[in-house]
Amino acid sequence: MSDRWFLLKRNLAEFWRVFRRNKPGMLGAFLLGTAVLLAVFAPLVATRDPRETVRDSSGRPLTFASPAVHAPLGTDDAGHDIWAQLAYGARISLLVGFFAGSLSMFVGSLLGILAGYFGGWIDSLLMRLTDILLVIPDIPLMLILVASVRQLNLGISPLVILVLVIGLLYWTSTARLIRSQVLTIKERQFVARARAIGAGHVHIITRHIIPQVMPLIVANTVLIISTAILVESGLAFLGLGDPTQPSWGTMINFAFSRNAITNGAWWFYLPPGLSIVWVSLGCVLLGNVLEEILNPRLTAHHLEGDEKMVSRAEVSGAEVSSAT
Amino acid sequence: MTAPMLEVRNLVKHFPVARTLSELLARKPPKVVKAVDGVSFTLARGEVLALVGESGCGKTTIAKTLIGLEEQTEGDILFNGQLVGAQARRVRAAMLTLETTRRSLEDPKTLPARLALRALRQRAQMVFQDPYESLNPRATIFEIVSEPLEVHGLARKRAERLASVTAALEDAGLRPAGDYLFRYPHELSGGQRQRVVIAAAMVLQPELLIADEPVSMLDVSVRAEILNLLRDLRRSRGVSLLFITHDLSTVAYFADRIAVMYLGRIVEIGPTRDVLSNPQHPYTKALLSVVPVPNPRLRRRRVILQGETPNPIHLPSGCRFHPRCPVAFDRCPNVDPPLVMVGERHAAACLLVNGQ
Amino acid sequence: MFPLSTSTPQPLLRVRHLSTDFVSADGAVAHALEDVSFDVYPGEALGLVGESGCGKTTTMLSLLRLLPAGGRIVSGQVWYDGVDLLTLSEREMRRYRWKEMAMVFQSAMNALNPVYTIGHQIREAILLHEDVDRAAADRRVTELLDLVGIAASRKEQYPHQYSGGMRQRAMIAMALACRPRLLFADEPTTALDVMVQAQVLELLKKIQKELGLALVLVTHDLGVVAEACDTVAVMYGGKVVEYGPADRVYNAPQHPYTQRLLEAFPDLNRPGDSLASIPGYPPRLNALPPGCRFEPRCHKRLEVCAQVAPKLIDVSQFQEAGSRKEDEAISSFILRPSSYKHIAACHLCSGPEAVWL
Repeated sequence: MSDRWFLLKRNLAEFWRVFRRNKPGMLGAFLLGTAVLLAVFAPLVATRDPRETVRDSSGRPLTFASPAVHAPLGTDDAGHDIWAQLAYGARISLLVGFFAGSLSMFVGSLLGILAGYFGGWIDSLLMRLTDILLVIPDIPLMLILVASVRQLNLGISPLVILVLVIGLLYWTSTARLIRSQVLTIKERQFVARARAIGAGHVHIITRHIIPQVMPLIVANTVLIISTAILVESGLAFLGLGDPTQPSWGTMINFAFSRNAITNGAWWFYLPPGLSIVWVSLGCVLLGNVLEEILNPRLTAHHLEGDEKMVSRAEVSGAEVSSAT
Repeated sequence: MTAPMLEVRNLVKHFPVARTLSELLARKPPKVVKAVDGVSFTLARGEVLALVGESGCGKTTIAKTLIGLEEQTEGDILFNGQLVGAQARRVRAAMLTLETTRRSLEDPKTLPARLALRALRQRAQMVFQDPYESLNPRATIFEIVSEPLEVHGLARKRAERLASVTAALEDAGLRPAGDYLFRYPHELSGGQRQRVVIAAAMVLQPELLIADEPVSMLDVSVRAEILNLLRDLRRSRGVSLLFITHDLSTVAYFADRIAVMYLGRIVEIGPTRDVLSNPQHPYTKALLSVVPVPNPRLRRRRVILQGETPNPIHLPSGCRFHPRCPVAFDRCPNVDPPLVMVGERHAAACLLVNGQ
Repeated sequence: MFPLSTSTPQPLLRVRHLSTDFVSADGAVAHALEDVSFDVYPGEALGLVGESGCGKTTTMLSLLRLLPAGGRIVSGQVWYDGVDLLTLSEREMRRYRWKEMAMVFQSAMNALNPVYTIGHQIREAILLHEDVDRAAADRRVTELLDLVGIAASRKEQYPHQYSGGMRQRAMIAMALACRPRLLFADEPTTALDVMVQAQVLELLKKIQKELGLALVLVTHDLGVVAEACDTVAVMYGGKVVEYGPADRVYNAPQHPYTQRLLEAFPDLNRPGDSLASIPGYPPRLNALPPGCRFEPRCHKRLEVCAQVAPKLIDVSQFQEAGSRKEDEAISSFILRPSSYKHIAACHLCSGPEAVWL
């Protein structure tokens, strides 16, 4: 498959050529990239274990030590190193965000494609379902869901519960977006041509519909990941995170419940807060730029006119006469 | 006499119009758009038949029905004497019930109807009007041209596919094919794209090619090349062509026979030379008179019909052309004229020519 | 060439050596127009004809100074009734657009606002440009619709209730709202059916005659030009390659491109067995050939063609040696002596270099 490889390389090179010159896109990639690097190399960049208590020379725990006392980001109320917590917390936040975002994108794309392509009752059912989900406030709903699933003691990790709840509730906007895109694509002439060749639904969906919506899916996954990270932070802040595997949201929750604010320990809550902003900003910038660049090239021709319709508005004054 | 390659008998296609809420409440009967309303014609092997008419006359609906994109309301389509299309749904149902006995499906003798449908799909191909729209912008030329082979399970080996695609592209005038295989449609000009569409249609070696306004989106200098290409394919492959257009001047170069359509009916059909030099139906005469002539010295009196083609929901009574007909008389609103022979293989549907 | 006496009518629009560039985002420059010159007389119709990308629409937009972002006029003059439009400020220019020079676009559906009635839109156009009261404007709307053949009863209908041909008529009515003297029509018939095309073309000819309008018809359709225009400018690759009275350009084309284009145009009156075609494709404006722009596709090319761009040659004299009969046909057709000028840009043409007054 040397030619396929060649094409892929050429497409990637072309993409990189355009992307490289896009400043917001590069900034987004940088923001997201640094966060990912931090998560991946957490054991290397953080010299301490986040659960290890830092002690001063006399062996007493260093509580609420400012960055000046304990580099680089000070300690919390129990003397744990904040920098280590931040690095390991990045793993949790990004993992939950990535899996929840991808899950919601998968569900949303699948349902959006099916609804848009087949229409009919599938479409009606799906759209009513999204309507219902859209009108229920999501944070309270998720609070109830997460809390009640945990009550069941099914032995599922709290993080998996978070991923499932976020992933299975946040697909509605995606489904609508993909559906509307599919609705326009399936009316295009190349789809009609494929049908005229004799292609079946599976062929048309995999060869013609999905390649057209893929850029939208890719760009939106990045955007949805940022939403998922934000939602996870919110839920964790409300105490629904996994206390044994603290994410950035859990850190803020700890800071809040352990009086970091009254103690003036800004190094406790500010770094995780800024990290969340850092990553979401990166995702949003990157997502928007990806959507812009990957959009299919729609070169219209200026001889193209209005679409001709079978039925048209009635023409009054269809007088009969001949002119010269 | 052998059966013609394609025979269309009394084809009818009605599209239901969605009723508004108030119409539903008032229990008004559902309205239908009578896009095609009783059309019959035959097409011999290697023949070129032009379907000419304005938008809304039903010519594109006929093409879509022939290719299987729409299902006819009534009428039969015979391909080499074998019925197809009408039974599309029945055949599909039969295929479902037979799904359990798959093996018998693979045996061609057990299900001739399925084969007939397949045969039509494979042996009748369509060239669409807009080369900018009919190619998937994210597929390479190779993927586009090899798609029909893949769909029909032909040339399963990649090397075979490559050979077929290369041959099809070169036949369509894209030489050397290697320069085009791995490019995307947006890298090609309009004329080149239309060649790709033709290559993709010809790769299955069809017997019938349906071309829906294949050159109307192209520049004049390129039009001639595409028309000449279609003509060459017909000559070298003996492929029959159903050429759909609103432009009579293109047809003059190209078609063996012309069928002029108005509001879902054929109003005149006959050999090109006869229809052009001796038009019988007033609509044909009017259409001919407005064809632009590229010479200011030959500006002529033109019969310009007023208004536009009426709505195919509310068809005029009697002859459907009478409200716009310059020579209509008192019987026209009452009598729906049938097609009557006016010469050898030349027929027209008008009370004035019929002597009725 | 011709003495400017008082009896000679002055061109309403005189375009001289107009050149326009397009600069893309990455800084590449495309010469969209180069040295375009032509005249449009009052009451005369000029056809700007050529294939897509030849610069005909760019020419129209340059004259109106409505070039899209990246486009700029590099040199030349556009004299409208003695005023060089290119020297005007944007504010002064706005007075000329619509009031003096109006436009009809190809896609009437896009040019009309779907949420207002046709009557309302035309009335607004009048009220915006002219100092009249509503009642007077309303009367004018009725007059205009009557002129283009739309019943007054349809005044308060919305664009979607109009058919394609009716919308094009409404567009023409709107263009005439402020009594312009020059009308630009960009592919006015392209998206329409043959019969409606004929109706719209007939209408354009009628109003042109009745109102004494000058018309610039931008189209790719040689048939439309032959039907409606007095003079023709054939464009190729951003240049005018042939310019002259329609009758002469059609019956004695001097440029190989014009010749081939005419042979490629299917004609009911001369059904041959094969249509001529022009091999290759029009040049891309960012990769123009160094010599004659038609050279790579030309069937009559010489060695010099690839290196040297041909000058505009006045071939009027050469033509006058033609038969007596032909001269008669021409004289019955041509109204003004200056329209006699027949110019072609080809190394094969002989004659004096064309002089633009």
